[in-house]
Amino acid sequence: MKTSRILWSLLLLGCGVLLLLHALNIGQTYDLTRIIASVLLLGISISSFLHRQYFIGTLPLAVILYLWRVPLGLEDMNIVLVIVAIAILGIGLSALLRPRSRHRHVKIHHDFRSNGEIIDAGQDDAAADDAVLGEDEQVNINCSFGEETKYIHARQLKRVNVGCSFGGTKIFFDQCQVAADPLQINLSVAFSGVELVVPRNWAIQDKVSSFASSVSEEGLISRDDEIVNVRLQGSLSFSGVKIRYV
Amino acid sequence: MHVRLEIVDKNQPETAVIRCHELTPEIEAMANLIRRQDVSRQPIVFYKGDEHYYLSLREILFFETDDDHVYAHSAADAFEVKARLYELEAALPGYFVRVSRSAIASILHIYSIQKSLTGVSLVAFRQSHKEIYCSRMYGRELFRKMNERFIYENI
Repeated sequence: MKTSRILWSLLLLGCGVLLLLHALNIGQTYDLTRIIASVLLLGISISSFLHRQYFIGTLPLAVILYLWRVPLGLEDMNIVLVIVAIAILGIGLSALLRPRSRHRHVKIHHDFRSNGEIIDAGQDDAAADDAVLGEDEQVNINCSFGEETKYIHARQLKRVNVGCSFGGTKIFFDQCQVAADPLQINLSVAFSGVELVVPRNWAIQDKVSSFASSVSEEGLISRDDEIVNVRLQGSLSFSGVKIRYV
Repeated sequence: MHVRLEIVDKNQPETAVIRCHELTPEIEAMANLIRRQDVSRQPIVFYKGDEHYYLSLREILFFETDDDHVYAHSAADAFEVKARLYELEAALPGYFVRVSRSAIASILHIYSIQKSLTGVSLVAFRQSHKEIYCSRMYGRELFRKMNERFIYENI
């Protein structure tokens, strides 16, 4: 994602310059650990706001406030209360500012560009037209603060949207029939674990944009049967995705 | 326990009487098992596309709901069932147990139960990659049934 890449490049460059200045004893003496931690947390926060993940975006701000409590004259601050207050603000912002989907059967409020970039559902007409899919063609899975299994039984599956935050989801694809080449699996996963159980003849292209996350594979892949092409895209932050071939 | 079988005339109702010193969970499970025998004889039809399948309930690992549909899962396949989950819960034999608001599992096929810190348990089945979660609310009943599994295994 272009914006994120520029943001993180600038932040890391800034951190590098500060470290260099400190090593060469140039300029003021800084509390480097605090500054670098704050810069990285700020990066996470801005990046989350860009993805419209307000809840995740506000939490690093609480930690930054805590790190700078002495210079800001807030020595007696109650960190627990501040985190709770900021978390509530984040939930409020998520409820207030999340864009509505144009199509009633699209529950997830993100669309995904083919290169894995997340965009607002209301910003791209081509993507919006593409979103008009029937019940048997598109499956939406949302999971927050819980664990669940989902078996997909669709007969003409073209797209699967997975939204998961602070939870765990196991999705079983072995009972569905794919009608698109490639099948799109769109992930919007934060602080969660997602397991995709897929048939062995699936050839999965990993196009996921991830931060502090990983995509791993388990099981044997078979290329003897007819291959089904699948494109895995979207965003992961602080999460793990496991693809299990059965 | 002494077991006595009596053949009665066709015009008399079939009755099972258990004479015991006290009502233990095992006796209660046995009574429930006998009560459910009549119901379990009603066949459940399984659907896949246009085809109807007549499977034994012993082949089924679990039933789960997906929006308005109920699916029965065998080790390697899944079939639609034209019934509500609560109707199945009342009609199924005693070796089926509710494990969440959206699933009923057969204790005969359960291979492992993995408990997590949140109280939700991951249930895995024998000779299948399929898994379901058992919610905290139904966990105690699942473990109670698992301890009674020997009653159902040889029937």
